[in-house]
Amino acid sequence: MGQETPLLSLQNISKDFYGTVVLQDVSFDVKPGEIIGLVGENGAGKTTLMRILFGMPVIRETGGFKGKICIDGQEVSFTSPFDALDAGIGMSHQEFSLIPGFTTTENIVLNRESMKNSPLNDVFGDRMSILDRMDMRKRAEGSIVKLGVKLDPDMLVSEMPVGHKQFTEIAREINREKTRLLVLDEPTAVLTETEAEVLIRALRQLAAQGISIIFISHRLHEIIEVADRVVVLRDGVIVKDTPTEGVTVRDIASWMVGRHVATERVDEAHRYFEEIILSVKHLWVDQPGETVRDVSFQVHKGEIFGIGGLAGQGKLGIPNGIMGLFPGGGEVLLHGKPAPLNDPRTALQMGMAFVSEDRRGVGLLLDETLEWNIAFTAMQIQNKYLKNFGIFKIRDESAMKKLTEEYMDILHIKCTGPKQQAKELSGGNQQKICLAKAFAIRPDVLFVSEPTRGIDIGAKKLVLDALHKYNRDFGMTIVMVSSELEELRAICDRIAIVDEGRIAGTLPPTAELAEFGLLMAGERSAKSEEALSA
Amino acid sequence: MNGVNKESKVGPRRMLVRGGLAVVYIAVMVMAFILGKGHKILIDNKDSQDGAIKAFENVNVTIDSQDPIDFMAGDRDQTSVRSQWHTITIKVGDQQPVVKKVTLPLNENVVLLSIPKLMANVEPYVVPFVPADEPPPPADNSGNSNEFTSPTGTEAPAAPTAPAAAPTNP
Amino acid sequence: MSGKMTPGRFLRENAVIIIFIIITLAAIQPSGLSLTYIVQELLTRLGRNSFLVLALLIPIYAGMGLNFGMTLGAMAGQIGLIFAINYNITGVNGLLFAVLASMPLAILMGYICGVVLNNAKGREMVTGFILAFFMDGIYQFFVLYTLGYAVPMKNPAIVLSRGYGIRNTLNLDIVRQSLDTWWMLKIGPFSLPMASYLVIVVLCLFIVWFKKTKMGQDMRAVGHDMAVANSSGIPVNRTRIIAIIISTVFACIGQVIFLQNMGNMATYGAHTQTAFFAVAAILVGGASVKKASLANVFVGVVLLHALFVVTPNAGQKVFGQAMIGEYFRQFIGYGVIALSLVLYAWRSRKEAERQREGLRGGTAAAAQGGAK
Repeated sequence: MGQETPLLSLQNISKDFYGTVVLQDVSFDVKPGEIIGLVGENGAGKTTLMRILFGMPVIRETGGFKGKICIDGQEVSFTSPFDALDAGIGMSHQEFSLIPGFTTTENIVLNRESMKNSPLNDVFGDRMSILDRMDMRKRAEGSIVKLGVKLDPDMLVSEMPVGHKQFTEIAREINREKTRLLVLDEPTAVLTETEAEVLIRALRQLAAQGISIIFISHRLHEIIEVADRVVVLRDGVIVKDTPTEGVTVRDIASWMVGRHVATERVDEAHRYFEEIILSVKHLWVDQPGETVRDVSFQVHKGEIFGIGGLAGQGKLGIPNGIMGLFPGGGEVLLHGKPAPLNDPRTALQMGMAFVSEDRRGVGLLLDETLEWNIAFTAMQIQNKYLKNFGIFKIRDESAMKKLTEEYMDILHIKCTGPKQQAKELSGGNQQKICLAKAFAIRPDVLFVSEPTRGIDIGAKKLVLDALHKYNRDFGMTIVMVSSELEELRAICDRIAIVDEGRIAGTLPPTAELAEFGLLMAGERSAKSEEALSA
Repeated sequence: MNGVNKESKVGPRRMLVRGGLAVVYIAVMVMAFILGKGHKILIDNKDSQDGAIKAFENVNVTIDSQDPIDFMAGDRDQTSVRSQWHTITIKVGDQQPVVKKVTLPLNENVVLLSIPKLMANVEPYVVPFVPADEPPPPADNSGNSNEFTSPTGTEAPAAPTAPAAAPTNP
Repeated sequence: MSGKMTPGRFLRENAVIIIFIIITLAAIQPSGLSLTYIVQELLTRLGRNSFLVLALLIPIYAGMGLNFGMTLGAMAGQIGLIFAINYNITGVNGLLFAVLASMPLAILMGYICGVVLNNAKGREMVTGFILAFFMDGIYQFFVLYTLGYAVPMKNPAIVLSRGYGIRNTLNLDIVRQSLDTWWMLKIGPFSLPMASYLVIVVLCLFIVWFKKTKMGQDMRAVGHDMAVANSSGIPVNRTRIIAIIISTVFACIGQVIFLQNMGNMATYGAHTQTAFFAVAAILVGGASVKKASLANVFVGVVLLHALFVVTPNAGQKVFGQAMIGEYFRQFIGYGVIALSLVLYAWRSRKEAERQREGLRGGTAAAAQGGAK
């Protein structure tokens, strides 16, 4: 490609959100007709980088960014995504930005329709123009041909297979005459393998026509197949920027997840479990953004079972589905007895508890006191902390106080006393309250979802220690869902990785990091659960 | 809203069309007002107040193409017309009919037309009607404009949302 | 969406229409009304009500549901009529004057309504409903206190004897049925108000044409998905406001047409049920909160009013009281609205469930889901 001016050049981009650094000194170039594969775990900074590139208002509202963006060697500063579009950068989002009730054509030329003047233009403005449907169709067909795929221009998007929706979305971006750079965020996530192959061919064809592409994907073999160069982001820093030639999936996977700071594992001894306490078969859950498609796993009594995976792949849907917070189906057996789905109360009564990732929404009664918060579920489900007066019951205030003080002590909850309101606590302490609330009903199986999200490092350790302590001291079985592989590896006995709504594989915490990376990337490992539990 | 389709500038042609339409809008409204304005004409065949102009013994008046009305001296009759301009054909006794053009004042709902003054061409033959004392207003028949009044003639029950503040008439 | 039309599905989707046809057919016999009478009544009511119902279409296209805020337009139309009567402007000219005089007010009302609804996205219907109640208060204040007081009234016959405020009932004799009788076509025993029909046809043509414009396309886009429309650069809020303004102006004209046929106007009550009966009609015609067509309008007007024509007499004959029929109407009207909304919610849930089946990867259910 020689020394031509890069089409896009990112120079020393840094960004922090209120002191938390998410991007640091990120620089790379995109040459005309080049395909860049951009990979990284969740939170690595991919999304923020693309937001900066598109001039999303959220970046300016949070204090802007440092560094320069150049197009054709000229520094640019976009104030809205529309400026980026005008400069020739198109983006296809992970969530389809299509109108279901419109045809392919209507979507491809959305808000850029061909128009003919009408008599009312002079009265009410240009929006009274009549649409020129013939010309719209011609333009749409042009884009479809350019993309080199088969699409019916008159089909409704709602009736399309999902792959066609993706093509429609890309066709719309290249329909803009000026588009020279396409950013594709996980374009293959929803595609079948054949569709993904067609898409990759189409992208190659576009690149041959001189359109540059930034291809974001967690399917690493596709990156190797399609990209000329791969850029790996980890914790806001580019750890690798290399041509894809000779690079293997395994290499990328280890670059992606490799960590320098590993949380120390508390005990190394491999524990053995006999009895199966929880058995999940063919579970599906309809949680928006975290769809679970077909998940089966078993948890032993006394074990800490970890569930990891990238965001949006469905790991959060598993506990939410089992506890009945989102509609789902399949079979869940607790102690060999079927547990009904879609019924949170029965799930609680059967001895399962859940610490939600949504602390403020589901987890806490923000305007109530700590003792209320901790005793609430136990009171509702198990009639604890109530004095019975026959036809009515009153709260046993002193018992509640005692309980709260006990947990304040065990979990080191920093607060002024049991009467403080939950909303006044810090994130870490709120999380501890959530745990205390779940501990208070002494569940047989405790689900914890993202227990350390949004709390500082010191508090993280306390939360993990508390889980560990309850598991060891009381034999409480814990299913822990987390995006942070390190903390799963620190306390879990087995870790299942969820990918696209299914369990890609289950690994011991001592497995190599690259193994986890491969599972997250959808490159199924040969290791089976049977091999592990043996 | 970050408009990609920025409002196109309003060119001189558009200004002209819009301005023209505004004028037409108002013109049509004024036209509807003038042409549709109904007037009640009280037709007098009386002596003028100073007695200078005498009423006719017998006069026959036709307004536009309405039915002719016969007047004896001292008679008053009324008719309703639409718009300002009218042709009045007056036949006094057995003489040849005289055709007069009359323009009514636009803004008066009720006017008084004096036939003797009109014949004598004494201004003002058309005067606004000022009632001596206010006639009692017609009874407020509280008919319901609810379309669902049944064909049998039974009144619909009051709508449940009927305004509480509806005034009562003395 | 697509798929075979099974008898069960046909019944589900047309439940309201079928219930209406059955009740009406059953009531014709006991009502003792001649078919000629019923048909003539329907012809009249088509001319009288269709315009108002058509006013609901454009907000539905824009995804704003049933525009209960159209009451605001009706109020504007009534104020126009009050002035036409006050100045004693007769005939079609009086109607024209009323419409032209009240149109700026209707546009203002539509704008206010649009801005309010933009702040209540997703709850447009209930917001519009309550907004209409609120505006009713302002209307009453305006008509009851300022007319004749702050605004001089020329016609003492319409003013309350205390000197200000408009009488409870306004006699519209000077404009009564002027549009209907302008061109009355007699066919056999029936008389057809052709001029009213013509106005309605013109409106229908406008709506068909409007859907082909850029604005119409934008409204459809906004109606389907606001977020997508916004990200493609369509000014969503502005488009929604325009949809409501158009609807309000049509409601204003529609109310004038409606009242000229009635011949008198309950000054403080004529508008209160305008939106209610228009909404009931379009729902009976098979429209939903999200989807409506011209055909829904006319089918709805015919069906709803066929029922309204026959039930009082049937009530009289069967129960010995016409009142029963009257109550029946209210009951039917509200019942239809409630039923349609419930059916709509139920259908959406079914649809979501059907799509959810596709989530069960690898299981037997997925195969079933795919076959549908």
